[in-house]
Amino acid sequence: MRENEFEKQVREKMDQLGFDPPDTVWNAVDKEINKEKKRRIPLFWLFFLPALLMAGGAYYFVEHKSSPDAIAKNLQRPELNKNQVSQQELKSEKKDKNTEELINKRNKPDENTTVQTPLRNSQRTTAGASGQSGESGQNPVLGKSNDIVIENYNQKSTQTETGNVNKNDLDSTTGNAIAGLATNKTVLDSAAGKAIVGITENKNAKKDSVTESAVAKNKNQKAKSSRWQIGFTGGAGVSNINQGLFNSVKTLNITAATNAAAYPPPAANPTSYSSSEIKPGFSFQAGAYVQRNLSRRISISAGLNYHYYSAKIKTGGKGNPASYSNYSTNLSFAGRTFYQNGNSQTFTEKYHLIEMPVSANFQLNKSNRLPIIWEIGLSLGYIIGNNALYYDPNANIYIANYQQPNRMQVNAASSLMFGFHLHKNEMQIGPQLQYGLTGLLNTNDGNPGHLFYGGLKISYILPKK
Amino acid sequence: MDQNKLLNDCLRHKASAQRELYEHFAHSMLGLCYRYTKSMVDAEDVLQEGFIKVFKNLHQFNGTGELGAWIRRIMVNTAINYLKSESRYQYDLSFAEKNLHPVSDENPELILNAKELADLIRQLPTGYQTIFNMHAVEGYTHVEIGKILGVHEGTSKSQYARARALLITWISRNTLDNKTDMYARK
Repeated sequence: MRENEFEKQVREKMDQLGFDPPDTVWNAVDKEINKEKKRRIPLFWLFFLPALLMAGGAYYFVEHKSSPDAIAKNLQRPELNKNQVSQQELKSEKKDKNTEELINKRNKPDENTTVQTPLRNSQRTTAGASGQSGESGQNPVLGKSNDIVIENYNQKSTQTETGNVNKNDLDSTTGNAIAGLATNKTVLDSAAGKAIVGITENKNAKKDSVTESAVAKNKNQKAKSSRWQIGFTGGAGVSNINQGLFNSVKTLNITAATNAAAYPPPAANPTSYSSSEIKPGFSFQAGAYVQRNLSRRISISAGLNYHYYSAKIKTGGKGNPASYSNYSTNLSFAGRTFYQNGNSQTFTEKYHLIEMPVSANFQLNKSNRLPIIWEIGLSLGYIIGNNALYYDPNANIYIANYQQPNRMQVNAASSLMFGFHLHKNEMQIGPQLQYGLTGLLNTNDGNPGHLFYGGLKISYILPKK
Repeated sequence: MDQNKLLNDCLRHKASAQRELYEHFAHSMLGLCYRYTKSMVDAEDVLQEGFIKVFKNLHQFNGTGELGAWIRRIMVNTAINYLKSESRYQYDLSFAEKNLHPVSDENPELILNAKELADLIRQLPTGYQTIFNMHAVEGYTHVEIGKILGVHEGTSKSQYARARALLITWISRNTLDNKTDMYARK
């Protein structure tokens, strides 16, 4: 017998060697590998929910709170709101009663509700993995020692107890309030169960009929759409009207935005008036986008966003439009709402933009699990609404409802995104900066004002289909 | 078992697919872990740790080779790391030429069953046991073994030769004992 024949015999014998591992091993493996999955879901909500709440809050703030007119209107309408609420309550009560009656009619009270937990037969196949070490040519994770946390697998397997609700027991205690409640609950539960089963059956039937015809369609679609991914993005942070990237401007002057011929030059000593500085305000954005990979680490994306910018200034009291002539001889803005100069109130200037961002994305590291992506791009924006105030140094007032010249805005944006996987989807989160290349006003005085935004951006990318 | 579908489902964290993959390979992989360790509890520890690595790194398997071979290599690496990290194996795992067992050219016929042979392999000093398993069963070359264990290729060769000789002695003795028992029963 030659030397390698002994090894051959040993190898053949050892290929037959196998044992059935106890269930505790799988339980420990399962717990460990699905730990991240369970942890990621709260992580998603941790970011998504505050963003949603902030967006909702900001929307409410924009719509109802910030405008002094709106506050006054709201204060005058508490009765109406009350009535609306009470009507809604009545409607919902009625609805609940109807539902209850319907459920009681449809269900017989003597049904037993039994929840069964299916038991799994752990059948193990004994197929041997006979591949040789040199065959695969894979990267088999030559793990360093201690690179995996070993959890004690000696855990008791959890057992789900089945709960049986015996209706007869409940019937025997008729008149007992607790039993009565329990019965109602059982009836409701079984009704709900039936409804769910019905819905599921309908769904399955529908699915079957549709599936066959959809198969061919899906195949074609798959080939076409696999290179594009759809994502949703949102973010919140602060915005301002800047002179440079990080310098805020001192009030947008109305003279700068106005044709010199149509508006007289400022008074001899306009600096005798001190206008308010513009302070940063809350900002948020939300939208959707499509993304396509150009290579393993480079991709491009384009999307559509709604972006809310705000900035704050200090003003005096609100002036009566009829008394405008007392402040200025220029009647170009007569009849408009205006605010006196002062420090008595904070006015929030709001800009609502629809933006179309286009960006190139570069993955800076090689990790697929935790990619770091640098995004750089431009976004074409359109100001769909604003309530900004513009300072008139001649009259020392702030003019509202003035339509600034540059509704179209081109912004430069950059963000550093940190990606992680959420189930089969990918999430990215990171800081973002955006700066308006286009000035808000057409001016030669070097102070056109640029929209600036800095905040946290979150992207949620749906998997490829 | 459709390997590609199973892999994709596992990558999507589908619990049933993960369980199926585990059950398909767990039986044979526990045999492998058993050969590298001295007790079944340790073997189960290695199996558990190995499968955690398999699932966490499944995205690195590009599908060109055999999945079983890939998992097998992970198990071997995990077993070696386990031996290195566990203090009760560390002394025995040293590859210094202290116990020079004689080299033999005998080639006994293997009439032992798999379990009996594995039990004999497990009785070898841990260093011998590891190198014997890696070379004779897994098919690693001495260069590869040297790299993985951090020893010289020559050390691996000589340790293997001594492990083989020691095992052959035990196999011969065991076979002889078995034959004697058989004749005695007759």
